[in-house]
Amino acid sequence: MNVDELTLLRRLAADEPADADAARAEVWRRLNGGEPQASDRRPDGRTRLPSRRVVAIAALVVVAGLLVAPALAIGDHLLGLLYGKSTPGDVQTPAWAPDGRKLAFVSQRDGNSEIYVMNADGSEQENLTRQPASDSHPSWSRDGRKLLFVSRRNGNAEIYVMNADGSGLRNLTRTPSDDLDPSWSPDGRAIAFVQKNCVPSRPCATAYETYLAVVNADGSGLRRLTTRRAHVFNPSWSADGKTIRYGRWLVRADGSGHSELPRNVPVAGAWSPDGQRIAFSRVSHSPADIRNPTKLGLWVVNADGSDARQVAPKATWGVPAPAWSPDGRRIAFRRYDGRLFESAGNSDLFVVNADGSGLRRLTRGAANVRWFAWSPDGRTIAFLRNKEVYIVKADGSAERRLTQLDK
Amino acid sequence: MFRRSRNAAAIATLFVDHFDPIYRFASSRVGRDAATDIAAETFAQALRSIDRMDPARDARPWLFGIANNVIRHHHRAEKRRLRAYAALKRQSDVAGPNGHPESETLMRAGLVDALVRLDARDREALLLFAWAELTYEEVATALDIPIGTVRSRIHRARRALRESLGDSSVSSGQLAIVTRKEA
Repeated sequence: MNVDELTLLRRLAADEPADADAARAEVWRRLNGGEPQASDRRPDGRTRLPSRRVVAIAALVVVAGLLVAPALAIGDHLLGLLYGKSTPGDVQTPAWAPDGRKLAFVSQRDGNSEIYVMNADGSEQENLTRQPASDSHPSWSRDGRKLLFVSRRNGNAEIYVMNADGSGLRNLTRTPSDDLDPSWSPDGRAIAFVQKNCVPSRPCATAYETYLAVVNADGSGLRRLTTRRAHVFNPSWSADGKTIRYGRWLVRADGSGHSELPRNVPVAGAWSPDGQRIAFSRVSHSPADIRNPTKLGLWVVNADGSDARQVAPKATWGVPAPAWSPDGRRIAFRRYDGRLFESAGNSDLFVVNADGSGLRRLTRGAANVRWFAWSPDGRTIAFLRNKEVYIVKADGSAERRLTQLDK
Repeated sequence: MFRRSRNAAAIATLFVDHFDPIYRFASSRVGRDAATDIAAETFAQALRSIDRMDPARDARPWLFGIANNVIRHHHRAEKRRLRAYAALKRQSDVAGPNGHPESETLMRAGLVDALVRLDARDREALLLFAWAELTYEEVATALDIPIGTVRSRIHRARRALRESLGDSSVSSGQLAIVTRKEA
């Protein structure tokens, strides 16, 4: 017997010849927003899809598209993937009531996502949405009387509002599309949100279709503010309520004056409370940048694209973006401890002054910090770790777990 | 300044450069049917967590590490695929390099049996080495374990496979006991 175990082992693998061309094209299509498709298969089980060369060309087209047309659907979807595009049920940021006394949060403790409210000390936890479909994404009205959220109780995602005690439920968007990422206008009269046209009953004609839309708080006057297919996510209002931002784009609340921010303003940054600056985690694959750690990390740039500078090294890229303290002086962000896999290491919460001084580590947990939010007084940060809500003081003291899945 | 297009270029390159080996590896371990899903999940996870990649280093072990984690969730498919290797009658059985066609079929059966019985951690280290063709150092990166652990896992796994070839009178049950004792 002159065949060794390694040779024999390697010969085994040759018994499963891999048709990489078909699989490559199929995976590329899925990464660009396509659902897995059985219909691409010919009767003989092989897949009728482009070759390696075509995929390589498609990749180049995406890259070229990013250079000339930032809203190109396919490129935007890839960016969405990169930035950890949010989906309902995924975004679980604990939401502080405007008076800082209560927190709304999402929990699956009864088997599906529900909106809960509790006191800021963790007491009196109450499920406000007792029903079998997913409810997520809660946010308080400025007067603290109402909660906005996304629910799938009608089969697709729609935006609902209810009183802070769970009464007075109202569906604001009875549309066939998925309505996501709702955001109150500062005066509480309107809600900006994302409409996603691709729903299971009506798949997208193209890879990706999302639109920015607005509806009045009473459910009237629903209108779309964008007409082109683009990757729209996490819309937010300017403090004066006149402008809505989404990614690097701005539009007036009446739908006019659509404009794009300077190129160096990041897609997934966090706007300072005064709207003048943007904090973001910078990543680059340029070899020159990679060998120079001062090019990466947490950065702040003026909203006009000027004065970009690093304020902390090693910020974790993606969603959630960094968060400004309510007074705009400090920035909370996640920092990865440097190990290769998320399962093996941790993202912990850090705070740094907006000028780069006073970097401070807030958490040393055994699991990743996910979503986080400043309390309205800027003293405390609520965050999610292992699906449980915790709070910690902004100086890193008094970390406390507020929820328990089995309670 | 923020070079979005370069990032996208890097990602497109990552995909084009590394898809085939990842897919082939997944295909060898769980079969073609599941391999497309595994490759898709691997690249989706890689893109989502690209900030975890040390851009100054080769992406290959990092991607194989993700693929390996994804494959762990398909352990039933993997066992099925591995067992199927024993059942296949190879071309080489007709004109094998050793001139004993029947013997290779027997050897394969023993080898596959030993492979299936390996400790899962030993098996994945061995297969990253033998099928993904990673170096010991790259396997250590992929599995996020020290290189000494890689050495001992692969050594243990190879010895178990070698024993399955060396003495066909050792039944698979006995072999499993022997292997466990030595471990």
